[in-house]
Order: sequence, then structure tokens, then C-alpha cells
Amino acid sequence: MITISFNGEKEQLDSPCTVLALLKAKGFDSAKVAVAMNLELVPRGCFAESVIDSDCDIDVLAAVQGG
Amino acid sequence: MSDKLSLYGELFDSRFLIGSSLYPSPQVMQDSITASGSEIVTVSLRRQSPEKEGGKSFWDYIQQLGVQLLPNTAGCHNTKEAVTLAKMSRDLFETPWVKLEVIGDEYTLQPDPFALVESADILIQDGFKVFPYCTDDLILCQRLLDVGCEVLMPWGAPIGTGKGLMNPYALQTLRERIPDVPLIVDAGIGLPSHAMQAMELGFDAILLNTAVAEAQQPALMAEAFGQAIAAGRMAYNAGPVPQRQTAKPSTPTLGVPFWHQN
Repeated sequence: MITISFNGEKEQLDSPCTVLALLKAKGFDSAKVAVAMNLELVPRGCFAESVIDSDCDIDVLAAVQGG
Repeated sequence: MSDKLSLYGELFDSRFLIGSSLYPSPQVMQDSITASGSEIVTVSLRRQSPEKEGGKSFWDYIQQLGVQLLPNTAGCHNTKEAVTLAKMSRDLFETPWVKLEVIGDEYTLQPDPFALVESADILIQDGFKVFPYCTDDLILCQRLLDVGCEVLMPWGAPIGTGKGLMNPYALQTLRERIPDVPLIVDAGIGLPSHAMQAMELGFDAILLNTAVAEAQQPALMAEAFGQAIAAGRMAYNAGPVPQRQTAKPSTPTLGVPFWHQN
């Protein structure tokens, strides 16, 4: 088991996984979100090879209204 | 006479940039943006849960409008956050445009001028077209130009206050000292007359959100702002008369009847 932070909440995963796998597992449409790992952008072209390991901070953001 | 707004080499007919937030419903947002005639709409990014469809419905609404998106970095309080959020926005919205906000004070939402310049410098070197939300401080604006900003967005008043132009003198000074760079008054506008005043001072455009979204009839208010901004621009182009200290009759004084008869 590994522990990560997902959108500010601590979570446990069975094992390290890719960003794409995590998005899929959580039901996100990967085309409609932007992802940061440890406050660095994960470009969408790299979702499939970027590995989330223990203690990673993951932010998944989507388009919202803005002023 | 062509009088288009030029921002980073792109031309626009409308001088009204509008926000997409705070509307009572997505339909009212769509109707208001359409009524405003705006071609540039601000959007943002936030944490979303899949249950909320990961922002899918908002995305669909905004795409239907076919407008230029201007993603913001609202809520960021330091350079690292602002730069990362800007990069995430570019990745999702596929535009190098970013309305750069780095808040320095939670109470006034006043921009942090030091982090703003630092963030703008980093982003411009990375290919971004930065629209910095700044105060009306002349030296701050000059430093933003020094790092490569080609547009400046000084506040009229703190975000959401609707107070209009708190410091017309400072804004007028900015216009006079920076005559050749697009200046957009962003934030604090409450009434169409505020927007018109800024346009009459020679500002190139207006960005606002709350004044339309929280009006009783947002779409009607959007149309009113659109007309005021256009009228203000026309008045500026027409060359207003200078103010004078003393009265001067507008009707000819030659041949005035009853002159000196009493």
C-alpha cells in the first residue's frame, strides 16, 4: 500500500500507478482535466507514463467559471 | 474607420471582456455573454470530483460560445502556484493566454506586485501571453512591461466591490505615461457609467464579471455595459472638450436682444 494526497485528501493505493490509470479508476475523462504532481504540471501527453508513487501530491483540475 | 482592439497580435471588434462566474445558471451565463457582444471570456480551473463530471458540462457550455478563452490564476498566492496553474490552464484550454492573478492580501484581494512581476517573467519566457491583473501603480506597470507583458490590466477598485474607478488620477497617469500599450480596467466596475468613464479616459477595454452576473437581469446589464463601453470609446476617439474653470456661453453673444436696455 502507498499513501498519496489526492486533491488535498490523503488516500491509499494498492501500489504505484500511472496518472492515466488513476484518472480512469476515479472515472475522470482524461481529455477534460489537467493534472499536477507535487505542484508540477503533468502534460497530458505524459499521463500514460507518469508514475504516482508514495507521498505524491496529485491535483486534478477541471474547467470552471472564472472572473 | 477601423478601431479594433489588438491584444498580442489578435484583433477584436468588442472592447468588453467578460467573466463566466457567479451567474444564476449556465443558461443565463450563455445569454449574458451573447448579449455582451464579448469575444473574450475568462475561465478558471478548480479541483473537481468525477461525480461533478470533472467540469464537463461547463466545458460544453463555454465551447458552444466559440469565444477566445482567457484562463485565470485566481486563488494563487505565490509565484509557484501561479506558474503551475498557468501551465495547467495552457495544457487544458490549449491557449497561451493567461490572466495572471497573484493575490497578496486576502481582505482586499490586492495583487502581490513582487510575485506578479516574478511570475510574469517566468511565464513570458515560457511562451505565455500574460494579461497581468495589477494595481494602478505606475512603476509596477513599467516593471511588467520590462519583463515582456504586452497588455496591462490595472484594477478600478477591489474585485467585486462595484465601486468604479477609485483613483481616476492614477489611471489617467497610467494612460498618459504608457500611451502605446493596451490598458484594460479589470475589477471593481459596478455600473455602465464606470466603464464608460474608463473608456473616456482612453483605456482600451474593460474586463468585468460581478456587475453583470449579479444584476437582477444579467443579460440586460451585459447589453448595457456593451453599449456604454462602445460609447465611451467613441467619445474618446471623438476628442472631448477640455474642462474649463469659468462659464462660457454656447449661444452667440453677438446680437443678444435687450442688451443694456435696462
